[in-house]
Amino acid sequence: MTEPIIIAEQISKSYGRKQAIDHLSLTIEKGSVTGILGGNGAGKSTFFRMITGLVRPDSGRLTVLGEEPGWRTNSQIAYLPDRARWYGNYTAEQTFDWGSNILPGFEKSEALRLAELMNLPLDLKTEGMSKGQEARLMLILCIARSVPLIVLDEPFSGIDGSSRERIIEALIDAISEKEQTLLISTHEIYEVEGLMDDVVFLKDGAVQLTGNAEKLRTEYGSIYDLSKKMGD
Amino acid sequence: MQGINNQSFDALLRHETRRVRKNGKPRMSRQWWMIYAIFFLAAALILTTYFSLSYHIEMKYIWSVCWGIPWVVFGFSIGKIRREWGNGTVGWWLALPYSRWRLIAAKFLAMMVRGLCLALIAFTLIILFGAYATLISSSLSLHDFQIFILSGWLPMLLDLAAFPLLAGLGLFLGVLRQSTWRPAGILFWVFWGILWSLFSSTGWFQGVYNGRYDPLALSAAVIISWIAALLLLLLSSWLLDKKLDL
Amino acid sequence: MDERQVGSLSFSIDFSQPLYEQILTQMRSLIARGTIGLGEKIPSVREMAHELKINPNTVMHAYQELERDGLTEKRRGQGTFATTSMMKIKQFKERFALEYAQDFLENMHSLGFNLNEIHTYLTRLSQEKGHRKND
Repeated sequence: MTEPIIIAEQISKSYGRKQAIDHLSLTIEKGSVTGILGGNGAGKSTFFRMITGLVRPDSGRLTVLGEEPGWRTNSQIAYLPDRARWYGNYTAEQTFDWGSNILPGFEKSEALRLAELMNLPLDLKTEGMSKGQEARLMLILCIARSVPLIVLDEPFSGIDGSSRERIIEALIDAISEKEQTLLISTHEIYEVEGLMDDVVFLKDGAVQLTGNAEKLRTEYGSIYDLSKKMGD
Repeated sequence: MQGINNQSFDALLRHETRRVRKNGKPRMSRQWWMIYAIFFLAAALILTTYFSLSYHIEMKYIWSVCWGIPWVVFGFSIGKIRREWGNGTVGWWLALPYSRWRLIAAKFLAMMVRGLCLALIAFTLIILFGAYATLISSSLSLHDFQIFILSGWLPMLLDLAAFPLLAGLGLFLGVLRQSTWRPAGILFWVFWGILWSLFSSTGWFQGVYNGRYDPLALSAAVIISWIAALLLLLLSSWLLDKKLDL
Repeated sequence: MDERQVGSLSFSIDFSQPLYEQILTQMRSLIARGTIGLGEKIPSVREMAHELKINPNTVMHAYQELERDGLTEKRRGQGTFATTSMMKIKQFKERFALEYAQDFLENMHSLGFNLNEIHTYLTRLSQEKGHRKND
């Protein structure tokens, strides 16, 4: 069960004078749900962009699925970028066709099932969708894929309560039906409190605290309360 | 692992040939499009009628419109890159399971298709305009019309020759602007200005404009255009891979 | 503390405590006390995960432990059911009764109480509890 899917060894990345990632070392286990938590500028998004090869570390070594991250490993990763928008001229149905043709492991039938579950109209163009509908569409694009790794950067930001509820239900199904590794960064800890197997707190680009969620609960109480303490 | 490395390039190309508007920009309704189209057509008809009845017009100058088309392609190409950032879709684009080279090549080919469509539309409209002017003019003969059409081949050919270079250039500048090499943009324009003035001073453009050209020089221009495009695309994909400022 | 309903069963989930143990103890109690009757179907892992908003793997691990306890049994293609054997439940309860009683006695002995004194405490406690119930 304990086989690493992501190994970061002393990786660093700076933008000008700002150190976005600072000698970060971290191992993510296969098949786990890991919450990457931390305030703004903690380095969550930069770390996710490194996993998908969009950003390269200045130093250190990052291994994803046994390789250096890049477009080849991306075929096995479903990635929801932070503050992402979808192409406005696609309807949901067209987006799913796009997914079937372009994204490895994408299953249109699964996407359609999720769209129905999440109450997403199929023939509406994205430019006409509400923020919540667009977010649901983008999430489906990620979780209707049978790939080993799903990386979601702030999947709940700016999304209304009912959409959140539906997204979490879909995530629960994704965890149980496929043996996927799920990485979520979020501010809305309360929503995913019960979902996380492991928790990583980032601060100033380095690991502040990491551990099994259940063990952390025994020691510190709920992850939500812990995150408030960590923020101070 | 099935199908990991052979995701269809075709699908990516189809994706890139779709027109993307700026997100959040309200779209003009079909009725308004119709109104503008009718207005434009009517204006063209009236002007053509007026000028051909009152003056003897040198129709071949209308082909000058073609000089603008490559620059339209250039602008579209810059926008093609900028829009990924502006619309917030860049994360999706760059995380696609295609090499950087294929990502940029798909955009390039999409721009070529767009350019060809534009050229074709311009060509057809100009011919129609010529036919109409010939028909209503008392001084223009069928022979004049034939000469008019023949004089259009060269600008069209030049357009086709210029497309790769300008599409490549547009994409390159678009990528450059998003990379850590951004400051090199100024250097590039200086370089471009010098090259352009040197080239203009040879009088090649003037010659072509007047219908004189050396077939050898023209083929050389086509080859140079493609080679330059290739280099620009390679450079762009390298920038996308190593020097992005995300 | 969150009260959540799964079908007709109610669970209380406290996110400041390990979730696995909460599910395990509450499921054990539901079966031991007969709230879930002999041979009755228990909620699926998916149903539990959805309603309680917790990781299905956590539920699954708790369910595996229940099976080891002998309190549930899987039926192929039909799901998981409470055991049909009264004996097994009795065995389970006895095992825990002995364990709890032993722990209790050890604690009391270590404080120097003898059996008589312990008995007095138990009587007093159960009387108090009885009063409280009557209030």
